[in-house]
Parts: sequence; C-alpha cells; structure tokens
Amino acid sequence: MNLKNLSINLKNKKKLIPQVLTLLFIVLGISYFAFNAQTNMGNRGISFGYGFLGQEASFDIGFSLIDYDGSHTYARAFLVGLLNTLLVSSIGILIATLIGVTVGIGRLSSNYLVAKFSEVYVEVFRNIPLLLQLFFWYFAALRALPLPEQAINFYDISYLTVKGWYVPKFLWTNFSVFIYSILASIIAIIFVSKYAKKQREEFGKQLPSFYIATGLFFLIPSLSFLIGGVKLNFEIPVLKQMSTTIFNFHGGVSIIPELLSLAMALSMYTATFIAENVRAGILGIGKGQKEAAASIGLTKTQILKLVVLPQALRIIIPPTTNQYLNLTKNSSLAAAIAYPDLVLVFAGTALMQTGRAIEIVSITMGTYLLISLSISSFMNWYNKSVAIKEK
Amino acid sequence: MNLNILKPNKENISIYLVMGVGLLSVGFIDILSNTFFNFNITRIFPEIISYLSPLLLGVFGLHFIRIEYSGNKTLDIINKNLNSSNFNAILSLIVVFILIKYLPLLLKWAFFDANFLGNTKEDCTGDGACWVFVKVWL
Repeated sequence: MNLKNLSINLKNKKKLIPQVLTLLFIVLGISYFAFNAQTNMGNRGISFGYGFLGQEASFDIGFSLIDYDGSHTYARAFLVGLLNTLLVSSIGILIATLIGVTVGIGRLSSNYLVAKFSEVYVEVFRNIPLLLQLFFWYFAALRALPLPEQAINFYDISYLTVKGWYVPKFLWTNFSVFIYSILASIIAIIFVSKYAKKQREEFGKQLPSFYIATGLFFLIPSLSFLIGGVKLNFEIPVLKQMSTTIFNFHGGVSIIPELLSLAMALSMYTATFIAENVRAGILGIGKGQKEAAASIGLTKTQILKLVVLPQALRIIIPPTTNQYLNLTKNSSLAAAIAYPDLVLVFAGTALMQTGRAIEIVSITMGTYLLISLSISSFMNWYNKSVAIKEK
Repeated sequence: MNLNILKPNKENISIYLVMGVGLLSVGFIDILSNTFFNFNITRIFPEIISYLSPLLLGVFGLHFIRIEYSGNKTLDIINKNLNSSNFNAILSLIVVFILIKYLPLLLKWAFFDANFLGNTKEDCTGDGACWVFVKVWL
C-alpha cells in the first residue's frame, strides 16, 4: 500500500472539511443508536452479553447432522443450524452447477428439441418466485409420494416415501485410513500429471495420464481395503409394522422431505441463472475461434473442451460466484417449510426463547457474512487460476 | 440388392424408411402403453432391457432413417434438426419421453384434478392444485 496517499495533506483543507464532517455524522449516528439501545435495554432490565450460549437450549430439532437433544447448549443448537444450512447450500450448489452447465450447453445445441426444452425450462423456472417453487416441491410434488407400505423401491436398498427418502447407512471401520488413502491417491495424481507435463514439454512424449490417474484413483483406496483393514458395511432400511395400520422404515439414513424439496427448489431455480451465464460465456467466444479450430480438424466435442470452455470460464465464473452467494442466502427461505436451518433454529426458536435479539441477530448476520466471504474468496482464487497469465 | 444395416443409403430408401419408422413406432407404442395403460409390451425380456426398450428401439429406428441428402424434404429437416448423430437421437428421444411421462402428470395436477370453485380451504377436495384463493384474492 502506498502510505503517501494516506497521509493528510494539510495544504488541501478544502478537501478535508467534507471528509471530517462525514466521519463526524457517522460516529454520531452510530453512537446515537447504541445509546438508544442501551437506555431502552436498561429500562426493560435486559442485559447484554453472549453468556446465554452456554445455557441449556431445551428445545428439539427435527433434523441434525451431529448429536443433539434438548439438554445441549444454545451454542450446540447454533452449530446444528449452521451445519444444516451448509449441507443444503452445498448440495444445492453442486446440483445447480451440474444442471446449469448441461442446460446452458443444451440451449446452444443444434438439436431443435433439446434447445427448445432447455429454453422453456430456463424461462419457466427463472420467472417463478423461489418461494412459490419451494411450496410447489414441498406441498405438491413430494406430498404426492406414497406411504411407507407402498414405498417406491430402488432395488430393495433405498425407498422413497412421503416421510422422506431412506438410503443405506455406511458403517466404516478404520475410516481415517481410507481418507488418508484418498489423500495419497490425489497427491500421486498431481505428481503423475506434473511428470507427464514435463515429458510432453521436454521430450514431446504423450503419456496416457488420464488412464494412469483414473487407475491410481481406484487402486490406492482399494489397496486400503485389502491391506489397511478398512471395512465397509451397509445398514439397509427395513419396513416395520408399528401398529395395525402404521408402517415405518427402521435403520439407514432418512433424508427428510424438507431437505429434499429445499435442495430441489434452490438448485432448479439457481441452475437457470447459471445456464444463462454458461450460454453467455460460450457465445462470448468469437466465431472465428470455433471455425479455426474446426478447420484444423478438431471434432465438435474437442472444440468445446479445448478451445471454447477454457476461455469461456473466464466470462462464466464471476457471475456464477454471484449465483452461488444468492443460493446460500436464499437457503434461509427454509423457514417457510420448517427445514431447521440457521435462521429457523437460531434466529427463530432460540431468539424467541432467550429474547436476546441484538446478540443472536448479530451472530447470524456475522455467520452469513463469513460464509459468503469464504465462497467469494474461493471463487476469486479459482478465477485467478483460470485467468490469462500475462508474461 | 445390397442392404448395409450399419450405413443406410439412398438406393434402398423405402426399405430403410419402413424399418426405421416401424421400430420407432413400436418404441412409441411401448412407452405410451406403459404410461397410460400400465401395460408393458416388452415384459418378456429381462427388467433392464424392458425398461430401456423404448430408447433402444427408438435409437435403432432413428439410425435407419438417418439418410443424408435423401431427396425427401421432411426427412432431411428431421435428420438435420433432431437426428444428426446417434447422440442427438438419444437426446431427442429422452426429451420426448420426459414430456410423455411428466406433462400429463403436471396437467392433471394443475387443471384436471384441481379445484377452481369455492372460497375456503374446505372446498379443495381433489388431489390437485388449490386455485380457489387466487379467485378470492382477485
């Protein structure tokens, strides 16, 4: 940073006066609001402090990734809500990216049906408010699913019912060894690809690095099963009769309909915007580039993969980062269908019970800010890595 | 007569057309009977083949009618826009099958099983959408 610009130039007093005045107004405004809050809280006998986080929460949460019941603290309830928000946002981002890229390329397809279908999908889902789509998936689409005794059966291991989607539970032994083996395979793949690049640049040899990398990716983790003592068992959900008319599934993992419909609505809605970004990025590459690539004999897939997409990514990534942030923030609409995310658990139930509005709202806002900033800094790093490297 | 099944050509266009359109229509009859009459005409085959039979029949059918510069205007337009390669043929078929499978469900939910008359929640007796509040609001 250039410190010369920061030092105040006293000769230039004309410019100094408005700056000092603005600063004064801001400080006065903030202190007025702080004073106001303090007196009002004092009048009502409310004390300020984050000590309540250690108290017993004494409310239950319907869906949680970690152990939680009413005897845990408010801090634990906050963590449950945060993890649920992160879960639905990451599922949403993953599916939205997959659908978005597919539909974005599909809109430019030479196939009339595919292009029209993608266009109708984009125009329909982009122009209906997200809240309505959420209600549609939750109240219309998922409520039409059958009861547990007539569940939709996927090869006797997974069942889709009105009470949720039951999938097998993974029971690992020596799970850490498996994680280490995956890390080792990733390091080996990086090493191989660097070696292959060196061979290509120095000696002009083409190594089949894709096949080697795929082999390594499956070989090293499977070695951990043979040598490392890693074992994987499945707990398959089983239908059990609770009473004469009520059936339910036991065992396995139950993915609740709230999570399903929220992830579905968020990803279908955001995918339309990502699709438009992808289309804009591909159209942004000059026609001459594609024609030049075609004239040296590349196939359509090769043109897309080697010429168009690497350049289009530079146009696609910045607006797509924006959509990822939107998706994460829109996940707070979970409150409408009672999916226990950060807003519903912490800024809803916990706020109602403790009445500590300023503390809880500030923590919630700070958490969303932190999530957004980390997503955007990651995407900025990725954007830099695909940008043109000028020498 | 020289019939090359892998590479349909213009000389035997009528035979290829009959074969292709025949296979295509069997595929469509299969999926239509499956969707609307709950009757699987390919149930004698193993489950996976019977499940994919409309797609397989359709791909073979579209392969037979993929004749370049056939001289038939309609056929050329179809080949250019829907059927330029095997991959495009699969994509077109999947889009059509998705429409056949899910458009009736959506129409049923939004119009045929929906409730338009009445003023309160109790008037919504069907399984479909409850549009009465839109009317109340207007």
